[in-house]
Amino acid sequence: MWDTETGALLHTLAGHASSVRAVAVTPDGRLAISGGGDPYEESSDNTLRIWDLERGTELCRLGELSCPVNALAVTPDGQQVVSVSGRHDFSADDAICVWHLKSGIRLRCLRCPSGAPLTIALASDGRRAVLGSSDFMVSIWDFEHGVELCKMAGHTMPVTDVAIFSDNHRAVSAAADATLKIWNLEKAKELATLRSQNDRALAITPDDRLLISAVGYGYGDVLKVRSLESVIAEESLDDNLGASHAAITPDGQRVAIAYDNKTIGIRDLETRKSLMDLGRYNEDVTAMAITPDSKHLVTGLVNHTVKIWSLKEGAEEKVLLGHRQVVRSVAVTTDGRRIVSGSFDRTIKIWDFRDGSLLATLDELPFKMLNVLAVTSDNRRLAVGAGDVDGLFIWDLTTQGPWTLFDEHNVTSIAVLPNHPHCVAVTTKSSIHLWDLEHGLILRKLSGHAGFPKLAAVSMNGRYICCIDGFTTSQGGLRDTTIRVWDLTGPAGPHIADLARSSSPRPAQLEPLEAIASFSGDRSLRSCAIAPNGVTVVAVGEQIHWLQLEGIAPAMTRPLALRQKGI
Amino acid sequence: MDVHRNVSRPNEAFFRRLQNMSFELRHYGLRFLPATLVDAGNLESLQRVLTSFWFLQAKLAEFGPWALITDYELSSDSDLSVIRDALRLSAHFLAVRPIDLAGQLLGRLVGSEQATIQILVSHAEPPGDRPWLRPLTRSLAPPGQFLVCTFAGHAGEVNALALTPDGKYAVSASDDGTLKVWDSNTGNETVTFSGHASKVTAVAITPDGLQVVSGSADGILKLWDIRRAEELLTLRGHTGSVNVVAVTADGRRAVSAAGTFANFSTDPPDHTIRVWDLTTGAELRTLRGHTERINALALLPDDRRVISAAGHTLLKSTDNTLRVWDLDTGMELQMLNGHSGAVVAVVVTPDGRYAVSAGGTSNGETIWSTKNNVLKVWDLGHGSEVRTIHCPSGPARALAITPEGRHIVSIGHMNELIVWDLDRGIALLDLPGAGGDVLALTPDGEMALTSGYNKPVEVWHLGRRIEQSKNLGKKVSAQPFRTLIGHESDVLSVAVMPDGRRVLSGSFDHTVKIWDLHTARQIQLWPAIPVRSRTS
Repeated sequence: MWDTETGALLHTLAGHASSVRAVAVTPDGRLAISGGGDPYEESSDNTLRIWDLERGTELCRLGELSCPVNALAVTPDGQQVVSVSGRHDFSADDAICVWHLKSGIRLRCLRCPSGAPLTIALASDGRRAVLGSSDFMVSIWDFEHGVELCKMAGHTMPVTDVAIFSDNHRAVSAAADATLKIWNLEKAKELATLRSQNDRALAITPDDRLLISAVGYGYGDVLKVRSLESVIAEESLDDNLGASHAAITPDGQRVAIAYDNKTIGIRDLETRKSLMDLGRYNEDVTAMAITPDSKHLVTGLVNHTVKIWSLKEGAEEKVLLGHRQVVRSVAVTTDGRRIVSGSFDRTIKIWDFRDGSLLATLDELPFKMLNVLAVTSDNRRLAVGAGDVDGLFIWDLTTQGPWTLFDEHNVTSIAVLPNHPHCVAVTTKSSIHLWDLEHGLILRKLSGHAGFPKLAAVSMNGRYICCIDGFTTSQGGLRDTTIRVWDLTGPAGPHIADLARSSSPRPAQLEPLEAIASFSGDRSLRSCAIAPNGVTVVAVGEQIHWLQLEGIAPAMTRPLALRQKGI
Repeated sequence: MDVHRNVSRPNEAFFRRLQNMSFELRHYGLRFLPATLVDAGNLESLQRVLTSFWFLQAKLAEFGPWALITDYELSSDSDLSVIRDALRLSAHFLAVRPIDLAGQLLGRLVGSEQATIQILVSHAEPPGDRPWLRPLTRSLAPPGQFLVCTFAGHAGEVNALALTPDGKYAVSASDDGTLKVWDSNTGNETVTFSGHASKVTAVAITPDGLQVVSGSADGILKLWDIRRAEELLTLRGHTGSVNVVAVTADGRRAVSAAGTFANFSTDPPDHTIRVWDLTTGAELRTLRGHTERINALALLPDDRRVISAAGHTLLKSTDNTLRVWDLDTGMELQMLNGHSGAVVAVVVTPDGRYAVSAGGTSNGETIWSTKNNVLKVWDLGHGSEVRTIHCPSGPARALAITPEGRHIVSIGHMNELIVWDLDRGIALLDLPGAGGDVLALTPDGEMALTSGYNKPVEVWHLGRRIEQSKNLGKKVSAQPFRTLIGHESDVLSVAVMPDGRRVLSGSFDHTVKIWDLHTARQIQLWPAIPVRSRTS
């Protein structure tokens, strides 16, 4: 017993015949309870003793347990103490005992059904207890009635310590598997996993903001302090994970993000909360598309397959087998009936969405390394960009017509303009071009990017186009860290429709359209998506950015139908 | 100057006033207001000015980010230092696009709990009602982590870094043919030296910290003056790419070595070391003798001798020697023969008695061959080999010697950092996982910085571990003390500031980053990084 102010040793409480591994102090600070026992000795002193802290003397011995005491906890009212005892391989009758402190009477004893309990934490309202045990489980107990409510699986090694947040809704557990897990006790589910080294003992500050953990066994013997704020603000949970693709559902409700840890997370676009995870332990995602009804997600995968996921159930629905190489790009037709996939096996395959059957295979391609493909919103043309041959390759889906070649630059991404049936936005290494595929001309070039535009996405209303590109300083620069937005219909630029209709002046000679807004990240971005409302932009890469377009002028108030007729 | 007092929306009113001022008055106000307030002892107003978004935006547009960051040095307020650190992290963006201030500040500070920062963040909006992308979450690196600032500006990878002895300036040499001098405190680019016609491959700073010697891929060396920002001399002579350059302790001579891996030209390959007079630019000596690429140079403490290590690491190598040269006479004093393959690194003990060399791969053999996986200790007095130390885990790529000269640190291909006892030739510490090909030690020798292919910069504690190591040579599984994540690509060079706290790294991604190993806000030393979240 030490004085925290002076550091002086006040008392040494001697009496246990073997090592003491658990100590608890009553809330009034007058009594201490210690539990003895060495798990590596057959006959050890497994007693509980109560000490008077003022005089430094042993008051009484509560009794002998059949197993070494692993943990102790005093109830918030200071009336009872809970002992947790057990060996890793042995499950005893008196695994969890509740003792009355004043009388020393054992109130009740519970047997743990499987595994030895190693640690316990009591909720501040005295109603719940959380137990960590050697069978890797974290279990919630109704402390008043002594019943196990549920077990939460997740750890892969014995749980060494648990702590409950002051709101009694959440708990954190440490295990020998080098993770800390945060649990929602109400829903009995895991909220987050934190990497740890070998953190053993845990404590949470009363304001629930900091987590203190002790690290032992050769990992530095230090105390670590973690801020829990970012973990508790669930919205930022997955934003530190790298991600390669993002797609927003056409109804604007949800966003699908392909994380680098091979999971696909579905998140609410407005609250940014995680709704479900698809395909854990899956293959790397190379392409994503969402069906027009917002109900299905189509992914192209490194393992040569195309997968269809139900966004309703969060389950895999169909696997389209047939490609013999990495699937590079996927697209869904606007009627939602067909899926087009392109692969490094030098084929493009067209699939029936409903039964997953292969409808057609295009295998005599004028290029080797397909990079990206898209189907125009009238479902008549397939536009393809390749890594090895410059140009925008167009295949007429209705006539099964020959390949035609537009643009003289290497195409890195293609985005469909939803309300312009023949038009696509194409990024090349120098610029972004809006192509009218019907008339075979560039309607407009977009400027303002620093060069090397990488990937473009168009909002569902066709008004905004956002693009990832480099950020260049006067002489040099960083790449792929900036996202820019152009307004295709704002007062700054005339309608593409007008341009398509009029023959003079030649549209391509028009001034390039300037970007209206930009945002630069610290690290490289890989994909972006813009919501149908045209306001929310999700950019993913090494970090995930949730951006909101503000300060925009109202769109030109021309009815959409008129514009479509115009083309 | 208390223009913004007693106004309901002080920030905006202040900005309006500022906007309506004459150019001179506004210029003066933006420039001197914070300093004036400090002089007047009005720290409360200083706090208000430095948390006024409109002041930040106006000052940034007029004077650039570094002038703004300097204003924050006037205050010791902890909240203001958070804002300063956020500005520092964004300085390289803001220098080019000051209009991005709102996005950059929000992306780093939104959700902060400090009231002053909340006020600043709530007013953050670009001026003039222009469209912008508002970050909804703190998705940019927040201040208080290890990264301090980024030097962006090079248009090519950063090959080499050098620091002035006082640590005030950092010089970076890049593939874009330029050298840049950075204020290592603020991240401000002070000078750009352009004049090389080819990639700049090597750089060294004179001991007085005033001049820079650079070597280029076309064989030309140049001498530059930092303070006057001008080119002083051009040193011509090498016909091959300059690999290494070093300046003698008296600052009067420079030594350079050339050599390329593959010589496609018909000219005879340049395997010479040249000694230059830095006052006149004359070539004093040409040290001829090596017949393979010179991989490393080390000046001896007497300032009169240099040791060189040669050998071709990829092809069959005929000259795997170390040679000791007299700088005055140009004579080859010693030839240290013993390695069976290329010698990739050499270090000299502080007392100048011993040299330690690291063997790379053997003659034309694969990297898996173990024949040349050795370190050799040489007695420079007798020119004889003292000891051969076998590296069981693979050839070493880089060497360092601790300041007191007792321990050698080697890192190698096979992802291992080993600390050797120089006298006994035994491994004291073996850290698997700490590998790569870039190595630096802190001035006190307590920590090692490593990086390599596809790895961030990692910082490892050595000092205490060496003393504690009871199981000599046994592999100790260890975690790095710090992992400095932020570069987009491989790190090509690292340098440690004289304070041993701040670290610079130059990367393939065209940037130099400054890191603080002991960041003030300890809470964020172990950021809570979720592995994943689960809801289903």
